[in-house]
Amino acid sequence: MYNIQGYFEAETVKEAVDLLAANPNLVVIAGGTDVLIKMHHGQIEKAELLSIRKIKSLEGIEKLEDGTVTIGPLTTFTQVANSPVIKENIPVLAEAALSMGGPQIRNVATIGGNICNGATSADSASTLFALDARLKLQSPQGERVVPIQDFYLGPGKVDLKPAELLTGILISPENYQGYAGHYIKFSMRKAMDIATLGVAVLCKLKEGRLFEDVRIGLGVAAPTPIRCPEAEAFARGKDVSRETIAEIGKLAVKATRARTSWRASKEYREHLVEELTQRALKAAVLKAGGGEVA
Amino acid sequence: MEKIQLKINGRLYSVKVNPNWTLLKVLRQILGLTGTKCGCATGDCGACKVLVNGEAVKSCTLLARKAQGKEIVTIEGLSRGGELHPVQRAFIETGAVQCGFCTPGMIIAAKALLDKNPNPSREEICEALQDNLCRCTGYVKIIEAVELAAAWLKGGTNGASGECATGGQVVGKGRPLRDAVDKVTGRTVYMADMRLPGMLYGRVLFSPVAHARIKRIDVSKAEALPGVRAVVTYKDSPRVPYNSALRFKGHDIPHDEYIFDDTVRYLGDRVAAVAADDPETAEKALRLIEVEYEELPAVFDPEEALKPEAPPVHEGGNLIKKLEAAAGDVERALDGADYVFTDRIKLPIVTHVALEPHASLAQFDAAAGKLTVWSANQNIFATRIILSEIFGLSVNKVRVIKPPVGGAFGGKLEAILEPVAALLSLKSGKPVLVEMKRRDIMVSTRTRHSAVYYLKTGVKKDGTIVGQDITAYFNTGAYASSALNVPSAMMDKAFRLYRIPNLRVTVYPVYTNCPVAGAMRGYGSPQLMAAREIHLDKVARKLGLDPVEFRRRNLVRPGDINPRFGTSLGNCRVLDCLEKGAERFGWEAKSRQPKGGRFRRGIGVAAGNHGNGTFGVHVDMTTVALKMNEDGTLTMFTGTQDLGQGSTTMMCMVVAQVLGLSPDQIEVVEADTELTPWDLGTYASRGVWVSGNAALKAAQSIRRQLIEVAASMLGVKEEDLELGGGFAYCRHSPDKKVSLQDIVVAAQLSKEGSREIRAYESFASVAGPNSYGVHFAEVEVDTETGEVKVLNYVAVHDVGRAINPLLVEGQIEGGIQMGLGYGLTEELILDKRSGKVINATLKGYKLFRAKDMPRVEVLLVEEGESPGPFGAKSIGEAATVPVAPAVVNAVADALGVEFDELPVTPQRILAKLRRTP
Repeated sequence: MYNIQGYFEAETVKEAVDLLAANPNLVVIAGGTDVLIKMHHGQIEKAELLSIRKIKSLEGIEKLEDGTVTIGPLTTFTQVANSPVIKENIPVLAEAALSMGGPQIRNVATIGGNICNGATSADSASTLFALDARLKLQSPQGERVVPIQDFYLGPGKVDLKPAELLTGILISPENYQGYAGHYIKFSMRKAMDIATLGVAVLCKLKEGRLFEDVRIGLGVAAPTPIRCPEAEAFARGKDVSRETIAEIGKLAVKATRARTSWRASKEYREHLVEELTQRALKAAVLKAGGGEVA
Repeated sequence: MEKIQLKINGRLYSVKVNPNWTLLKVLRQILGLTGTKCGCATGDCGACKVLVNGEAVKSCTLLARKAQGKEIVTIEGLSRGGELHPVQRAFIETGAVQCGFCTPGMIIAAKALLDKNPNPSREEICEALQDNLCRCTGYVKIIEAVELAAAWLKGGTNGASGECATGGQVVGKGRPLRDAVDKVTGRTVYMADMRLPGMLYGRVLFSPVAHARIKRIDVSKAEALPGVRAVVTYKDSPRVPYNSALRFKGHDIPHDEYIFDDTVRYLGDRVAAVAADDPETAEKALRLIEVEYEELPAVFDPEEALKPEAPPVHEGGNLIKKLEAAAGDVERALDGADYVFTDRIKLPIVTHVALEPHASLAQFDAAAGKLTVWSANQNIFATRIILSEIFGLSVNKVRVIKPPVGGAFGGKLEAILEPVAALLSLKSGKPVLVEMKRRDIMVSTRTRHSAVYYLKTGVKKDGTIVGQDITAYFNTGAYASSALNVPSAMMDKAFRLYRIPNLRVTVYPVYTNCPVAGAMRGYGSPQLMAAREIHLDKVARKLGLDPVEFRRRNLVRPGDINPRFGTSLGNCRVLDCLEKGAERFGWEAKSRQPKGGRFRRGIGVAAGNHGNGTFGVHVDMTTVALKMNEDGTLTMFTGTQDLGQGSTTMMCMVVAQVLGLSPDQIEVVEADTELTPWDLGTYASRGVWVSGNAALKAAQSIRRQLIEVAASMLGVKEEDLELGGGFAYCRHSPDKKVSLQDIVVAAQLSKEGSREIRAYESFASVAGPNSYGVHFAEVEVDTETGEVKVLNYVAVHDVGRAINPLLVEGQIEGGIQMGLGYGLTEELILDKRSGKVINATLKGYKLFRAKDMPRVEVLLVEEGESPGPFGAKSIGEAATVPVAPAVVNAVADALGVEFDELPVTPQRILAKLRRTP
């Protein structure tokens, strides 16, 4: 069925990175939902698999003393969606996790796998972008922490150095405390579909009527997930009004580098960015205690 | 290899596996638990679902080793001790089982849901089934089945009910498929479930370029791979051209295809094939075949392909043959019209997506010089002719057998894999099972013809159509296949729906370097109706006429004359469908709803028609054989290919009705060129009309013989005897009777003239009326994103008479699912430069899922159509014909825009909205 030469299983991070260092052909497999399909399609040939499923230290969600929320890369989407820590502190991430795949895929697919695939359509990515998440990476040479924005290099390409393993996703308190967020996944079909556009919006209000901060993360609007710096800069200090939000929607389009693909044309994606950014922001404002913006 | 232990259905299995094997592979290939099906291997269809610790899990995306230590339950483990689980029973009772291929996965998903949530809402059911695809049922009866099972489980019953006794009214009463129990228990052996001793696995290599000559092909590395038993290319292929769409000996259609050729004509064309000891080795060997292509210019658009500078796909140019059908004087009618409206409408390439992948198993017995082919195939007798011609075998040395088929919809009508499997078996000397991957099925089997329509309609001010001129360019792809048949069938339908005295249809079937178009449910009618019904809605709107009223004024009436042939259209009840549907749908009230705001509602209507067999086009005959057995039961032999739609169930009902038996008392020997009588093939919606009639004719013959023997046994006159309840009895004194078994035995042992009660009857069709349908759709469109939600759907069909209303509804509901996709979501998208299909996966190609389906209501008009059996006529194809235009017209109504290209995706909707103030 699959053309696999070998299969390795690591029980510790050290074991995993050592194996990776010794054998550069190894493909890391966690949930396996993407890797097995790629093999069926012949996109991965002669693959040797390294399963990291048994590395307990890569699982689970925690809130540290300083308020940083850490998510283990092996955490499944179902676990993210159901986690009390996430639901209490970063509910928008639970929303995004719930929009991914079907229930069975969510039970198996991991957030780390979703990130390391480098797909711009990854359902977790736009929210993690908006949250300024940082990624902890481990190699035999040591550990480094990079902002998620720097990790995505291009379509399907991420900044994983040889023998490097994603070991943690970090979200600092200043990036979620006081923020309310909303995630919209737009796809052509109601069930089991890849996003045509993913929009994650976070906002922090001042006195319920001014935007103190707005963050917009977009998936599928460019070859990698992106943020919308111009729109975000414009928003800061502005009134929460229909006009401001309309302008933010327009400016959000400027950050995009949408391509025409068979899934959707550039024009259509840009239109969606404008509309859905506004819609997500309005919903986020409501959750942040602001009024309804018609 | 490593040894693992798996607990499956309460039993512990110790198996040696490769660490990379999926649970699906281990279940099916190692343990022989083939009730779990594989429809894609990529986690998109749900046919492979099993319970793992109570969760419904797709076993194709789970490594077997990860299932260790868990409780696995497959479909085989659901019915304990022969007792069906209530979910299984509910699937049977509601008619949720058609082809049965998605059924195990559906039942597993439903069981997992009900175990956790005994009271699911409709939404929760759809949620649980969201990653289970079905192409037959439109999910309507599947959802009903889950609701029914929930009710039974709550009530503590298992839903078991006593089967009604023999006799009584059979025709007109809904009845599940005769093989439904096998299908819900996973016992049905589909093509890919078959194993023969020494069997090899075949895989096909497909072209990565759209048009090229093969400069060099080197198979030595592939042949050298251990486990490889045969590699075949054009060098091994008999130089005998054929047409995969052949229907009968001497069928005059272009023969332009070889098993393998030295030229490839589309991206996906067959290049070579390998047979090996196991599928993995066969796939590996494909990658070792070295091919050097000399690329040639390619063309993908049918109108482009007709230009003089276009590269010829075959010698002799790209136009296969201009086709024209006409009645009256179109030019004069258009000149004299009050208004003339024109349109150009473009229709996409779509594909069947039967859940069962294509597969064929061939066994060539060299000593006997005999080729036997098992294949998921709709036309075994024609396939036999094709194979006998290619390999130079006499027809009685070729045997083609159709096992149960997991859906076809026209996609299995043509000989595609069968010649390849036969060639591999010939070369290897072993039986070879050739299977295709989903991606290859979507590209390298057959598709629906994409087309461009130019329509011109002349009307009077009051909306009467006076003339119409239709020209269409049909893209047949790289080989002719049905290039002449599909447009001809389509042209014929144009003259039978509206009263248009002056009508001309011209079709240019054109070769391109696209995937090959062939038969697909509706066979030209969906294209014609999509284009014409969308066009006519625009005409009605421009005239200020309500679309229902416009159709009311123009639709044909029973007994109308076909202006092309001067023959009667029969009891065409399309107007009844319109009126009945408009009322049930609430058309008038809904058409007065105000429109505005972000979410806009709209309503749409469309009519459609399709045929009953091939009468008037070519031969349309089938033979049915019946044999009475000593206990009064019956065996039926039919060449008809049941594809899951229930044609043999229908035939049993017809026979049972005539003989006063229960359909359960009839055993069927089906679709084996050596054992069953000849049949033209399961296509052209000819099942009820022709096979039903043949069954009726054979049953009547049996009836006459039974009564003849009974009359002499009872010493009464033949005309005083009736059959019923397993007896022949005297109409006036029912106590005077003799059982059928006594009659059969008496006939066998008779000293005067020992005989078998049997019939062998051919029925050749004597008329070709159409079946009609009118569909109504209500949609809601999000004007910000262009998303369409189909809210309500009413379908009304003129079926003459429903022999089995349960299966008729099922056909219509499934037809709606397919048509909604044609209108809104489905399209095989070709890269314009390379000709590569870029969305050839079930992720990229958007079928409607349970969650996307509207509420569907089906109504029947049963006014009888002579000479259909009991007045019945076809439904299989007609069901899908009016769907796309009905839903597209609804979207157009919601937004006040016009569409000229399908599918009407959110993107196309927004593009229109922005152009319209």
